[in-house]
This record gives sequence, C-alpha cells and structure tokens, in this order.
Amino acid sequence: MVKPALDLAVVKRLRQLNQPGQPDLVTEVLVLFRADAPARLAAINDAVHSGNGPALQRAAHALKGAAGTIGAHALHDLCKILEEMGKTGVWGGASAAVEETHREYAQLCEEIDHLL
Amino acid sequence: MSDVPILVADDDSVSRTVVAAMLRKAGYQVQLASDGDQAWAALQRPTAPSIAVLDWMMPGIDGPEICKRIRQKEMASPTYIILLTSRDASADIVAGLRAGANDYVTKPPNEDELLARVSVGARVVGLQHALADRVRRLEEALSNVKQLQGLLPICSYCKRIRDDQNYWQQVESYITVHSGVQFSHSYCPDCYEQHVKPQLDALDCEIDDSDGQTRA
Repeated sequence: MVKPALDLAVVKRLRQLNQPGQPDLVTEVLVLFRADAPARLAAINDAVHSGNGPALQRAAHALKGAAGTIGAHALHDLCKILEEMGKTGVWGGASAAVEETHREYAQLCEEIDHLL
Repeated sequence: MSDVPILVADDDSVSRTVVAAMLRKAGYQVQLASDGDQAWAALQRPTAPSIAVLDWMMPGIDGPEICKRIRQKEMASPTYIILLTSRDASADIVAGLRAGANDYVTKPPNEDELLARVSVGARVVGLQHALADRVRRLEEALSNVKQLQGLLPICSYCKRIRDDQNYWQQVESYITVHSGVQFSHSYCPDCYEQHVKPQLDALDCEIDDSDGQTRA
C-alpha cells in the first residue's frame, strides 16, 4: 500500500479551526494550495535546469511551507532537500529529487481531489 | 484579548490563511499582508496593530528587515514582533531575534504554541500601553509643578527678592509666579496694632470732625 501523501490528522486539526457562518477552511486552504503549487513546481524545474541555486532555494522554500501547513509531509521533506541543494549549490541527485517531487505532488492531488 | 489587532504577513497564501484562522478562532482581530511592503505599510498607519506575525522570507522587505526598521523608530509602545521561521533554521532564529524580533514560531505553526506566544505578546503590549499612559500622566503632572528650591537673594531691608532676570520683586509676587500658592490678604495682630489701628483711629477722627462741622 502506498503511503498517503496527505496526513489526515493535520486536515482534521485544520477543520477544527472552522467557525460558524464561515467557508470551510480545509476547502479554502486546499484550493489555495492547488492554485499556487504548479507555478512553484515549474519554478523548481526551471531553476534545476538552469542551475540557478538561489531561485531553487526560493521556489522550494515556498512550496515546502505550504506543503507542511496542509500536512503533505513527504512533499515537504522533498522540498527541504531541494531547498538545501539550492542553498549549498551541491546538485547531486537534483533531477531525481525533482522527479520524485512531481510524483509525490501527483499523488497528493489525487488525495486532495477526494476531499474537495 | 479579542480587541487586540494582529498583523499576519506571509507571501504563502496557505500559511497566511491558516495562521489567520488560528488567531481568529481565539478571538483576535486579524489584518493580512501578502508581502513585506504591504506589512511595512500596515505598520506605518496610526491604527497599526500592536502585534505582528511576520514570515521570515517574503518578497519586498523581509521579516528581519521590518524588525530592524521598527526598532529604529521612536515608539511609546513598540510593535511586538513574532517571526515565522523554518523548523530547521536555528541560524535564522538567532538572526531574527538579533534584528529585533520579540519571539519566533516555527512553520508549520502549532496552534497551541502560536496562541501561547501571541498571548505573551498581548500581555507585554498591555503592560507597555499602561506604562506609556503612566509616563504621559507623570510628564503632565511634572509640567504643572513649579517647585521653589535653591538660594533666594533677599533684600535685608525691604525683603524684596531678586529673580533670575535680576529684577527685585515683592515676596508675594515672586512666590505666586514660582509656586502653586495664591495669597489671601489679611493682617497679623502685631500689624493690626502698628498699621491698621492707627488708620482706623485716624478715620474715626475725620468722621468726628466732619460731624462737628455739619452740626456747626
């Protein structure tokens, strides 16, 4: 069985922040995540292809924060590795990490679609 | 607690929305900024929130730079700043605190921890407001006090006092100017005998004289 991309315990905690009369926070946050993530993944791709360390660090950092907040732990950890690569300029395994990041994101999207 | 406004600044809409939801649920009034420039503008307004939760890394002015700018300003009640940082960035935490942040919370924020740290901030802000109010009232009181102290040159004969501008003033006008005292004029028993009584006697004589003239 594949390990879930999204930690439902985190989703549950987010749902507890809902307030009466307000839109569902989980829906709002997951929609925001889905809206922002593709541009950040594209920026990660571009940065790795062009060997732009600071750009990789920025894009990976941004995606890492959002992933951590919604409980996408594996994606968070992959972004952390990419961020570190961008920061140190040590690129060994960068392409593989980007591929893995895209796979993880695809699985995450499937799980998010089930929730929305 | 509920009337304490808090600024939440983060370019990541997901993180910003969740932090705001945590604070709103606890009853705080939340203002949002999606980059450092917006955050800085919000903190310049006269109605700026007393507490700011700032992301470390933002487009425009970043969190530590905002800390530095805020700390350079003379403020009676300085903004209480909490930085949002990555869990693995202890160097960032040190740099942020050195730049003038009061505290930090690691991302993704834990709700209980965030609220506990914000309530410390609210307490500090409350104390600062009370202190600033007290200082203001003391300054007001001080400006009303004109205390007499030091040496006063006084004339041995006429008892007039020499003031700072080298003028000789009557004792009563000098004291009226330099203290909160006002004089109500009267006379002592000795002066009654020496000054008042002779005048009254003289007046009586005049009245007697004029009566005599009328009668005559």
